[in-house]
Amino acid sequence: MIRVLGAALVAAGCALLGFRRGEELKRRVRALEALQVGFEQMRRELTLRLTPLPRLMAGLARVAPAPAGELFGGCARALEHLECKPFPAAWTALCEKLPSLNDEDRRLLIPLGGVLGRCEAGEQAAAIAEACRVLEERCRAARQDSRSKGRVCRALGAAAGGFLAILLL
Amino acid sequence: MGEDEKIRAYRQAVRVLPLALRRPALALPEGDQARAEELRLRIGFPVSVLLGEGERPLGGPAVDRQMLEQVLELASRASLHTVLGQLSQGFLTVEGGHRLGLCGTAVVEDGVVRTFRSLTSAALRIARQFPGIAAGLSEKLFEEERLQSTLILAPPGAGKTTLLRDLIRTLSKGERRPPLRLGVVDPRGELGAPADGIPQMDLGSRTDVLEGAPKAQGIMMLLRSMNPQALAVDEITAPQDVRAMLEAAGCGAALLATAHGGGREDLRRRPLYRELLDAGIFSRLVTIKPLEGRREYHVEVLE
Repeated sequence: MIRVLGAALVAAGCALLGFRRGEELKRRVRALEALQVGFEQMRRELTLRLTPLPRLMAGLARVAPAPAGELFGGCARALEHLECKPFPAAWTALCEKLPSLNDEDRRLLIPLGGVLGRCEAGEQAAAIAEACRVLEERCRAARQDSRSKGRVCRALGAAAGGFLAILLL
Repeated sequence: MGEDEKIRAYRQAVRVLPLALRRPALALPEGDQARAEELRLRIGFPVSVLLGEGERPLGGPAVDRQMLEQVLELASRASLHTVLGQLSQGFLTVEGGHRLGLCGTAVVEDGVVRTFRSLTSAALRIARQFPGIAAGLSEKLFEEERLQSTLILAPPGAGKTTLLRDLIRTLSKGERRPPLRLGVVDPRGELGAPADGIPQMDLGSRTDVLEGAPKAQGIMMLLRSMNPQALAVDEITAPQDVRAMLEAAGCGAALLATAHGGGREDLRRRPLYRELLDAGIFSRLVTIKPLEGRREYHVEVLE
């Protein structure tokens, strides 16, 4: 009985690992999509209304989906303490902590900190549009990854679990 | 303005300084904080304060380029795109109406200064409201119960904006006469000192403030949309401002404006203002003279 229970637990654990990896891939897609939506809203606000950064970030924090909302919320808080840390440094720190992304995604976002609020709205909008374009490319690749690798991970997890369970029994 | 309010204005102004420079500025005795007119920042030297008797260093670290950049970031609230128009004139207005003047290497495009490539010094002028300074003056600006178009003339730093602000407040509240409906064109937010669009300086309850619009355009917008009995603008400096004044003069609203200059002769010497004088737009000229630590206002009737 104990052996059967143990084998079932091992099988469930392996399947769970496979599903978790599949979920991670899905979360990355959702994070990239959220950032794209947030940046697109930011670009529109900057272009149409020249909104000051503190108001822009606070507004986006309320409407943008996670984790973009958290990034913008963190920016809004950092903008209240500019005497302690300049905005580009705060932006870098926040990007490095963004969940669900890989290091390459984060590296892509960091240069925006040196542009936001530091030049004409048109130049900022162009930099944001470029970031959106690259995000879109990465998002497309991530979706593909999620579909193919996600399925493989889930299948491998379940198969490995079943195989180990058979071995144990 | 009471001593406490003057100190509060000083402390609000020093919020645009990075922490390393803010500390010595806040260590200034309260009496001097209340009297301080400007803070001066120059690369390689500690911050100094401008008091009535002259400039005095505050101590603390020497200002460096990075600190000046941080001052600009704090003053613009990391939103340079919202103040580029002001920057091209060499200064920007910060929360509370304080004015940050900048100096360094200018970036020029098509003959127009766009921004600064590198900053070398800055001057932070502390804005203060002095309710009541225009009380004795406003009476002299009326003729046959009508407010006359008035030009306030004084050198930089003499208190033109402060006087205009109180004049607006006095007329809008109707402190000595029936109240007037005023329109204020405030491109740099110096008169109303708005925070998130809401004026922090008292301009009276019948005053409509148009912030951010260029003077010439703002004057016409207010005339069309808000039906003002009097229009106020700070600092006529450009030919397009003069042209807008000329256009507005025939619309039935009295004009209140300020200009740099020592006296009537100065106006005559400068082509920009000569046009205004010749057109007979202003019928009152107010000059400001410092007198034993206070300011004296002279009203002259222009024919």
